[in-house]
Amino acid sequence: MVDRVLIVGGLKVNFYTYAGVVKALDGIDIDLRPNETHGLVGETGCGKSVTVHSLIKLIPMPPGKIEGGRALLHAPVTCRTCRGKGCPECGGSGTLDTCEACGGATKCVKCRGFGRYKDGKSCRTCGASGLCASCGGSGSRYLDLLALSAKQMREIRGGSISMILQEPMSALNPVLTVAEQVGEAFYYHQRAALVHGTLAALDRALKDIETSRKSRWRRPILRWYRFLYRRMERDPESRLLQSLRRVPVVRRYHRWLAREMRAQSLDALNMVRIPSPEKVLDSYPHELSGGMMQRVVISIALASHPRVLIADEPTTALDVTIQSQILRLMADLKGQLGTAIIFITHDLAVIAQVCDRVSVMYAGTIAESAPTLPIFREPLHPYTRGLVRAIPGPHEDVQRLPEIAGSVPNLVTPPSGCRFHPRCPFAKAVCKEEKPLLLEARPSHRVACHMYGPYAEQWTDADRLLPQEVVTR
Amino acid sequence: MQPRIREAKFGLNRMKQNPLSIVGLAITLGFVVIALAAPLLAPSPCGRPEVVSCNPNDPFVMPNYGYETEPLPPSADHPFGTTPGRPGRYDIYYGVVWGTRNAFRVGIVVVGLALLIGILLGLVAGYYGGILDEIIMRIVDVFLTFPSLILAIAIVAAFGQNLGNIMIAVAIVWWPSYVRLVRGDVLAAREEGYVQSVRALGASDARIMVRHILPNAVYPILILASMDIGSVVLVVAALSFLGLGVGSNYADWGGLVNFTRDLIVGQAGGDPLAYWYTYVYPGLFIFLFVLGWNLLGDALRDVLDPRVRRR
Amino acid sequence: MTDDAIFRVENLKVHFPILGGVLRRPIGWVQAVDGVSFAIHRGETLGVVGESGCGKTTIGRALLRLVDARVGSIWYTPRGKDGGSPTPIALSKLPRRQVRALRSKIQIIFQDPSSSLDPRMLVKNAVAEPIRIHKMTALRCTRCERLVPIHRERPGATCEACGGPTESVRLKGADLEARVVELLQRVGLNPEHLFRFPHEFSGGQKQRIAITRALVIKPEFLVLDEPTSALDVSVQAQILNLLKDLQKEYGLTYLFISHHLAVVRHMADRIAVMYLGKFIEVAGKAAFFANPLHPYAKGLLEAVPIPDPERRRELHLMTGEVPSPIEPPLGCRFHPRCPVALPHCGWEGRDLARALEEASQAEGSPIAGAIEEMDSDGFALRIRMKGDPEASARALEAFLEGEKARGRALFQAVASVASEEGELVVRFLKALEPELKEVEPGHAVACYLY
Repeated sequence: MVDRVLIVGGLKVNFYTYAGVVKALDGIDIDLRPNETHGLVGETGCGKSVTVHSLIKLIPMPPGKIEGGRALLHAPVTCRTCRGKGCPECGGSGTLDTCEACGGATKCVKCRGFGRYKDGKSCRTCGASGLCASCGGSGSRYLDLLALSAKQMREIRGGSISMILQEPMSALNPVLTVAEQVGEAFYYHQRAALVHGTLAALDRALKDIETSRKSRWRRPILRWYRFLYRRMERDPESRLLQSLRRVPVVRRYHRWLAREMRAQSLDALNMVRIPSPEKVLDSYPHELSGGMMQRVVISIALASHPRVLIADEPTTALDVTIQSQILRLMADLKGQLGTAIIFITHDLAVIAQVCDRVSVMYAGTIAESAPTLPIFREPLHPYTRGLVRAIPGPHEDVQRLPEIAGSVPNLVTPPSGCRFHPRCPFAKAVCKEEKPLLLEARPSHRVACHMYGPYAEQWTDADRLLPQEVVTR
Repeated sequence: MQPRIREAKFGLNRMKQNPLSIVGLAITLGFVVIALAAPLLAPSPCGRPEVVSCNPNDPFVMPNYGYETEPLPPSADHPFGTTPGRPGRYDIYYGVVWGTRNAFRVGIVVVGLALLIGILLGLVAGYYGGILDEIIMRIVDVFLTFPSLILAIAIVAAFGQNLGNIMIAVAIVWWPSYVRLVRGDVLAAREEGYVQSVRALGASDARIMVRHILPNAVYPILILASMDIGSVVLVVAALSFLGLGVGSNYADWGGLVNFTRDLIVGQAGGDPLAYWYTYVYPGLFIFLFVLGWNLLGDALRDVLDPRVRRR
Repeated sequence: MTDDAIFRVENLKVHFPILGGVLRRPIGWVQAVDGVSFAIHRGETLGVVGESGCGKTTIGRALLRLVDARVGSIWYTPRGKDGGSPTPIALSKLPRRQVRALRSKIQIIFQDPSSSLDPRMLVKNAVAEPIRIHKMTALRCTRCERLVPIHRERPGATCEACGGPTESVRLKGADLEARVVELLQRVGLNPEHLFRFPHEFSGGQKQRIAITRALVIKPEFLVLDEPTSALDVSVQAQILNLLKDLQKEYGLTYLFISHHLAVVRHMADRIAVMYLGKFIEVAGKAAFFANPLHPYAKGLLEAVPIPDPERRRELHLMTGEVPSPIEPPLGCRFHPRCPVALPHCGWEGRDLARALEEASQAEGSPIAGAIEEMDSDGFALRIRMKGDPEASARALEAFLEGEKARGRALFQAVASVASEEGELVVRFLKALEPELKEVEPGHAVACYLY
């Protein structure tokens, strides 16, 4: 099992607008582990959506521009020699999973693992760490999302990485039925499986004709279809077959595939626990309620069995009872399909309920990143502390909710050094000058704050830890 | 007010991004200059020996240089040549310069009048809805069933051929389309949150309509209206060309082209383009005027359309 | 009645017509608010909780006469002038013009601050507008020309700065601006914000501007319609604290509408839970959260995620979605989704139709293929048989008996099964809607469990 499904390092994104250059993201690091639900929390405008949109290049590129950083997606390929069945080449697993750059050695190719060149300058490729930049030092095969061509990125979107958005009503096309939209997801990302199923259906039909001896006139037609589908199996993107879809009469061959698409769509709807899926398949989006629409959107996103599911505030627009149903659904499906989820929200309570790890974002930077329990019990970063204390819980009474003074900074002129320093009750001079790096303060608990970094002596222990009274809930 | 200046600068910047809008602005400004400077560019030549008849009080009446029907080609005396009026001989240069001022007058008055009626009725129809809306829209429908040019012709023919009647006629033909547009925008604005808020504050209907809905709904109309100034001038020119314009010696572009009806294909047996200057110059002015306003309207839409604004 | 109820509502019903057909006649009614009675006491905050579509927003609007009630009455008792005895006003029957005059006393803050402010109006004008509309006056010191702050205005007050006598003046010009600045600063904004447009502010700041605009005319009652739902958690804390402070300083009464239970807990003194247009539970805050009685309220409370990862609960899921308010369920409106529904809670034809449809689609169902068509008619269900009518009818009856024996409330509620005109007609006991009954002092519930 590989260590990390998605590695994002030093992602920098700027927007060049009339009002100035908006430094939206200033070095984002995210680690996504297999099968985990990773929460991305922050206020409006902190850059959560920009982060995930940049990963799949959905930000408008003028005025946006990805200035730097890397986004690596774990992408083992099927071994070409055995086509996934297992052979000595791939070690029996059917997949090739070695980093192309370092060949599994995990050492940076440029500096040979030393972190610096012969003349003493630190290696720019690996950032002086010595680890291979293309695989983050894991030795596995990763795909650099930022370096993909438009065509490759189109395959990734909806394929290896799927996204669901906040408003299910806007995510679905109002003039197409649910069947058409879910089927489309299968058509684009699961064509091999569809063709396989169609061929099976055709074989069954042919066998039926043999045994029952009825409608023997259909045999040549079905054989012709089988020929076409075998062709499609070998070459799923076949231009010839696609152009045949435009020829009247001949294009009837597609109906078999459409039937298979419908069967798969039905299964997908059942998987997301939609009642009366047959009826829903033939409905239009506006005939469904918000919760149902969001389930349909989830089924479309999961149709391709993606490695990463990005959920951008999926339940913010839903009622709290429906929200709990959807969250439960996502948790179950994650286990079934082995997908890792990036869950974006500004609601800390939801994070507490569903996430394994949390990254807290502030003004384009990651402030803290840790498993869920430490974030709530021991929030290290002052911003996280403020957030955790400002939540009204339904199960206790507080006279006044503690506030964080000030407001989110303008990203055209962000504060120097640590972007939170103007609002931080613990800020010192160094906070204004130097930007704190995201460092590991406790095992698996990273913070970007000088109180826990190389300048830690400037603060006392009393500043750092949260007093126990708020922790007891 | 600082913020309004900032808004204006933002708007101008957006305009700069589209070269065509600069062209439109330049053309229209050019015409404004011509119209304002008409007395300087084409001073009244009354009193000069070659002028046969002239009206010193109304510069829009073109001075008559004689009764010969032969048009004179451009020369030092007549930079754009002369055109044979009925009767008389008129200086084309004088005609187009004062015609510019006339065009602005006609365009602004007609569009202004139509806007006034259109906005008023549209506001009321859209805001109150119900029976009032139905009545107003049916009246609009009646007006729209008439072909506009024919209606204008009928009114002018019935009430007499003077500038005032022409402007009224065209305005009558023009306002129905504004009502529809305003009503649509008012219907949308009526449901906006701030209208509900202000109603909850106790504002009267009139206040809501004038202070809140109108400023937010009026911009599409203004864009259309600016383009319509050009169209109105075209319609009036067409009326004049058909002989239903103002008197034959009035400085009106359409009127000038009217004189040339027989000359467009030249004299019998002669060079068809012999008298090109008689229709090219007035035609050119009409064309550029309408073009300028259209481009300006496009530019204004880029600037004012709230959907396009990056706010 | 000499209690200090500022509002008294009796049997309020607000129905919105659905127009259809050629002549645009009402063919149905959206029963947004369907018979609600309550009282709000001066100085308290009444919280109304419910999911979207339950009608809570409509109640707020009805109190302001932004929508008109179809049935029912609203009594409003303004604060007596100069300590005189107040008289209730029949708000629901007041003509429009007089309602406008009252608007200076009753105000509303909407959910989305971005759309509640006119985008083309400067902040200064937006806040000053109510003053202009109602021609407000203020007390101004005759000596130093300063205005008495709005919450300390009393007849005969003396200037705080110099002790001089005060006179009442119409707020205009510089005085107007001074009052606007005074209030903007009270909510945490600066004087230079006067000359900006709404879109230059953040969500929290816009909401503050909206609050200022409502406060500037000295209201005594404020409807807060989900004021922080569109804002982030940290900004929400600021706004809620501000609202609490303002309530104390200015002596306001609030109707706080929200779908967020935690927020309502923080703000409200009493809580009313709404479902499909009716109050199903009303209680004091402590009583409610300690012991919610109605199954819906319990489910709502359990569905709210707790911001504590150690108390992850098995989210107890309420099945199904909120039904449409056009034709709400008969009997107790919550019965189709209620996990503890009893046979007399109001089971009807529609519920049976749904259950039969699900059952017939299940694998190996004994009634698969037995039903051709079903037609629900209030408390009865007519089933047309497919195939052999005798066999199908028997299969259905057996199924019904079987489910009844298994203890499912829906089937236990069957009153009679009869064959009429070749159809099987299943009839249920007619049930009424449960009334809001006081179970404990100050804690009322509308449920047959009690």
